[in-house]
Amino acid sequence: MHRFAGSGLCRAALLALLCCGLVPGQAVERDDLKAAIVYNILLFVDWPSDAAPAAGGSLVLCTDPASTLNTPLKSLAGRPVHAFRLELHELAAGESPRRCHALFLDAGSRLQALPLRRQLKGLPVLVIGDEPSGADEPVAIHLDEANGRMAFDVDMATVKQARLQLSSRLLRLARRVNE
Amino acid sequence: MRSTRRPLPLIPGQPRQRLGLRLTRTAIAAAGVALLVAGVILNVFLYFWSRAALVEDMMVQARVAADNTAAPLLFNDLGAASETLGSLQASRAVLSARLFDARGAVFAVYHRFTNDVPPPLPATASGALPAPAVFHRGWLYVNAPVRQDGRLLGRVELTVTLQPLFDRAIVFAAITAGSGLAALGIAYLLAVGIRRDIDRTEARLDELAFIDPVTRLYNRHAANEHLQALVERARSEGSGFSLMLLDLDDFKLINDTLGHGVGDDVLRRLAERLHDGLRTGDLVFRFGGDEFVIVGEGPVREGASERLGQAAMRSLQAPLQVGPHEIYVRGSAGIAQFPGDADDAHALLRAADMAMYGAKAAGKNTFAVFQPEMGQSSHARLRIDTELRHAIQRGELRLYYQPIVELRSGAVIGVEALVRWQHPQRGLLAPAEFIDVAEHTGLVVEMGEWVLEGAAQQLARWHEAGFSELYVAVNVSGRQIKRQVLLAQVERALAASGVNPARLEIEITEHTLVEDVNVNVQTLSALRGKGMRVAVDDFGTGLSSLAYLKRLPIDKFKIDRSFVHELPDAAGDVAIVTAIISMARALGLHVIAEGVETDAQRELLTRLGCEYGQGFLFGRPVPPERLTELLVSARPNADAAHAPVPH
Repeated sequence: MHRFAGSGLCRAALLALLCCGLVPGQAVERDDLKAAIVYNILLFVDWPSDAAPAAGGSLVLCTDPASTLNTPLKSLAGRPVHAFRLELHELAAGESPRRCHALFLDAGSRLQALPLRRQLKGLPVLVIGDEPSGADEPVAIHLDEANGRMAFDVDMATVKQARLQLSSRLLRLARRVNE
Repeated sequence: MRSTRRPLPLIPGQPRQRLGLRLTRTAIAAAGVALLVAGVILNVFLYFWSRAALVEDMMVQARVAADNTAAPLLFNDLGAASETLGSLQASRAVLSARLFDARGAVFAVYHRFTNDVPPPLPATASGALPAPAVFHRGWLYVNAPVRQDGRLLGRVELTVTLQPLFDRAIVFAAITAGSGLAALGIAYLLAVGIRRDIDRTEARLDELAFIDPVTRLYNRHAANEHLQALVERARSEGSGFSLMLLDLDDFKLINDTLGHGVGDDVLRRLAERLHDGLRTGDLVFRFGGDEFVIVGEGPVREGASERLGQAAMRSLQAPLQVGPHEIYVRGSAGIAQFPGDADDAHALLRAADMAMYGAKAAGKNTFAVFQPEMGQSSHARLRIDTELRHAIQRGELRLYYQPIVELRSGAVIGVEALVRWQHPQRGLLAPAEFIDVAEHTGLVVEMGEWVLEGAAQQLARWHEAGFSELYVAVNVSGRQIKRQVLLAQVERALAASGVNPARLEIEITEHTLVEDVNVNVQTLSALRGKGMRVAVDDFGTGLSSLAYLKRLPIDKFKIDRSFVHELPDAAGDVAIVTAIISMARALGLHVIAEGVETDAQRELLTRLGCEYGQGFLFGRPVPPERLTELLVSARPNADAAHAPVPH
């Protein structure tokens, strides 16, 4: 009855997700895992009603066109997130992030440029980054690799500023939650 | 007599189960069964109800665990998953919880610290989720899918022990049983109280049903039951017993003359005496008004019947002292044995009854042991009865007349009509041979009417022939009075013959007279009102109360022949006859002596002042034509020869 069925992509994502740990040097696998985690995080986020897409609409995850995660993330495009479908959008330089619901920033991404940061202020966009950030950065969730495992920290001030709601289940799994 | 009281039936070894005891047992058993059924139903219901509640509770727990493990499963966080599962520790019934991933591999486990090792759940078909709740060998397995946004991530399986459920069921069953037993105990105590009341009531009912209130003896009902039981026992054991039926002679007289209070006292004293005179094991019953049944238990030996009879007669020998009265009670007893004389209780009583009538016929105040001939003689009585009915129709009955004379002159002043039966085979029969049967069957009423009519017509003929002063005396039976037909019969006889009522005399025996004084007085008064005379026959044998005599509507005493027979030598009889004559004079009544056979008797009676006489000295009972000859020959004047002679 409850056949555990799904597309090949889905299966690949879960395989990555359920892997017990990371093996150093296997960059491709690590990116797959990161992409899966980014996707999973989106499952536990609620957008304010004025910013949420319409039912059946697209939830837009913006990335840096140069991100190494673009390939694994693209394989997740079309996957359901709540009542929406995941859409990936590579944010061009200087493009406004208004269309984005979430934004993944790689370490050293050129999107770290100041103008974007300014533009993000006050927008309901969940910014996920994969390196520790400064106090005034708009990154709400930092992915980090420690002891061969992926972990994440949550910056609640940023989350609140973006008027987003994170599920307590996600918060429970966070390594650190900064108020 | 209370010492004779025993529970019925009176045969040991056959205790009658008291109704009260049975009622109590039944009530307690019924209450017990009801409680048991209710308890079982309640317990079964409660067990399944608790089980359903447990399943529901565990499914909720499993669902909560599944919800809370979705994120840890998604983020591969074993610590968080284990922590979530660990929170199930609060639920004591949960022995273990396992979180499976989508491939069916165990991701996290929680296990309560216990030695219990549940058997593994049989594997379901590959890839299929197990049912939400499965009972397996005393364990409950609950499964809940782990989903996130509709995606199946894995499942949580709880292994739940049913032990607390079992423990609770046992405790509850024990409480039910305990409270049920307590309730039964209380019910039993209540029932015992009620049973005591019922027992008392039953004993009272038994007493009312089986005990004669006057004598405190067992009554007829008890006698019948006891006899039945004795017969059954005797049959099965091949033993036997004796039965005596004792009937008091003339007991009614005591009641009528001294009152019922004295009568009851007499019965009581007699009952005590009978009881004292018997052996242990013998039982006395009051069978009827003045009838007692005595049952002699034990083996029937030679002389057992005589022993019973003699014991009864000894009890009657001495007078009973009741208040100021010293009363002699006489009785006749008949004895029969089982199985010798009868083959059932009813026949046994009949045999004893026949023997008792034999004793009465033999002169009363004695006992008789049943003889087979008695049974035959009752057949003989039946034959006589049939023949007698035919005899009246066929005209086989005859009227004979015996002269009654004035003692001083020897003149015939009247006649007594006496019935004879001209039997086709047996010849001329005296009343002694058939009157008893006629009395017994009631035929005497019909016969009495025939006698009245015949005598009146004969008298009319004699009156026509010139013997106008002659009267005829007719004997009537108590039955004619009891049935209240006598007056009508007399009237018909008078009307048919046209004779002067003053010439018709009614004779009634003293026995009959005292049997039912009130009815008799009424009828006899009516007869005298018509101008007829009433004579008391067999006077001196019926134990008339002197108190009655003055108010009885009678004209004459006929001194019984037994007092006349030994005159003039028997001083006692002289005294009795003298007394009767002087009493009659004092009351203004006439006296006739019966059975006068010698001149000496006639002379003495005349001297004592007796006016009239009847007996062989003056003439035997003869057919009417012979009496006419006698009358004609005694006629004083000569022209009597020319008078018409009736037949």
